[in-house]
Amino acid sequence: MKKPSPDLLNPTPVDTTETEVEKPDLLEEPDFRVKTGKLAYVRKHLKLFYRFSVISWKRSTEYKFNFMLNNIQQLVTLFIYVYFWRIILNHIPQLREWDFPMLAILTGFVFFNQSLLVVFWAIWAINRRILKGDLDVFLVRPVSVLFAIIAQNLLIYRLLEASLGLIIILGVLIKYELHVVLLKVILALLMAFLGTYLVMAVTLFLQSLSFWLGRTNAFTHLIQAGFLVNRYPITIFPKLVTAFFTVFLPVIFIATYPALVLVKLSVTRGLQILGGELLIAGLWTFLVYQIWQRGIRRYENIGG
Amino acid sequence: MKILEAKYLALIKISFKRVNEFKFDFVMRYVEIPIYLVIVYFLWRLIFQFSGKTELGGMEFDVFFVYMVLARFIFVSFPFTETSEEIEEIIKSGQLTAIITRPVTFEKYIFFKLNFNTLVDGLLGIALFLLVSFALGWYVLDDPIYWILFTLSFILAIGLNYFFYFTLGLLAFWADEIFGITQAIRSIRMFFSGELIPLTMFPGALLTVASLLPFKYMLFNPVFLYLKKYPIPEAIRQLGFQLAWMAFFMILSRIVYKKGLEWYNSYGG
Repeated sequence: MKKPSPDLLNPTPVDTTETEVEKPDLLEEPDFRVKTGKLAYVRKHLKLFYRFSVISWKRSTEYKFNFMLNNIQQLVTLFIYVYFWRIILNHIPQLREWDFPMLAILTGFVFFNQSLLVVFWAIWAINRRILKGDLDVFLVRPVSVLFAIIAQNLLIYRLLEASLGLIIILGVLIKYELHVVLLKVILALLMAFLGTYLVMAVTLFLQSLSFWLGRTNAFTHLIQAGFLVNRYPITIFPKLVTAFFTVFLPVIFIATYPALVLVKLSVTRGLQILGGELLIAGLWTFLVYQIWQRGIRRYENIGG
Repeated sequence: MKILEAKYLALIKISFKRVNEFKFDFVMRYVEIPIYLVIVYFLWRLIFQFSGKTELGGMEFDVFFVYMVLARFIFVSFPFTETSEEIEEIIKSGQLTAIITRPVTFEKYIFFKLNFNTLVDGLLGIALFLLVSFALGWYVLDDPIYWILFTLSFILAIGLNYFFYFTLGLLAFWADEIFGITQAIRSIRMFFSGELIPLTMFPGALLTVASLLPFKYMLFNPVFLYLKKYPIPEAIRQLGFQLAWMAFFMILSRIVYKKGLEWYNSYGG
């Protein structure tokens, strides 16, 4: 028997009076902060961060050959930076208090932090998104705009490169038999992490100026100039230069202080520096928060 | 001049308009230079002081400082990895199909589209450098013959850099991604071109290796000619090497491009 086909031209009207259920309002996104508190809001972001990290890893390892080359390239660069100091120290015994092991450790920290910065590379391109009106897509999502931009563009594989930096530090400590207490290691790492955060904060501050000034690529050059300096032990420079790179462009915390704390300075001095760094980080966080919030309020875009 | 046909002039005009549109941004690009100068000055002064020598790498401090600064100014004007990355993007996205149907040569199109801005930057940078040199009493090249040699070397270095990164970009015909390769080359170039440290400071064996690679002719040679560090016969010989390397990469890029086009596939519009 032939199966009756539904009459597509004259469909039977469906009686919706009995089956009608309460429809959710799709336009109204649940506000986790209000309904379930800040903890759920944070948990949601952490979960998203994890998911985006997995996606990022899969994307990076999609092209195996390129992935391998990227890592080899990092090794080459690391070798070149360390060898640079070897060449310099062929001509002089040491650079003020900086001898070869310390300079190699400094390079390790530079690598560690630069890789971390690349993981969150999206921060460096926020001005372009503001200019092009690309924030719309993030503004309609029930997540923090900044978080969404950063998480969606993570380059998680660069953590491997960061670990190369740590390996070189460990290697130097073992080869030159430099004995360090665990507290110093923790202090140096904390300082380096916070240093990365500080550079990100300053970058975000300068990038946010795009809300008012339009194209601000030039400020990125300023930060890049900071990175040029970062490769060298900043304490060898005159006090005024050191002060500039401590407060205004705080790249001194990326490598110079962590290396000094690890090898030369006492724990007490390390704690004092960390305290100062926290203070500067607090100041920059306040500034970034203010400018970002004001910028987002000012942001406008027409079209899709 | 045939090379500057109207279509390429149009690309140059667009570049100028882009610069003109964001004047503040253009000016601010030079903000890193004073920072760089301060760092280079104090770092190398200290190294000279600790070494107890008056010369390092065959240069006294004043000349050495000019080397480091000029290497930076010149470096700004040279085609770089952006060329390779742009070519990769064009090949991967299939835009190449549209370009090859136009009455333009791909290598000229990329050159005028991408590198004119950097060239303007570089020339302005060098002009600024000369101005500062006169004002602060730094070393300034005063020999017209060396000026000619320097200019020739400068042009050849731009050509060599361009064809080198152009060839590298063409690898995108076969490779899934070339980011890793360009970044690896970037680091190697930085070291062997004398950008990080003058090649004359290298230990003997490494200096020999550096002389055998093309990177030396991408940056070190023009700077060394400006500093009059080569006697004229040696300068001409070095220019010959530079020309040979440029010709090599120009021919190689054309072969690779031809082979790549045979391999190239694009579907859709």
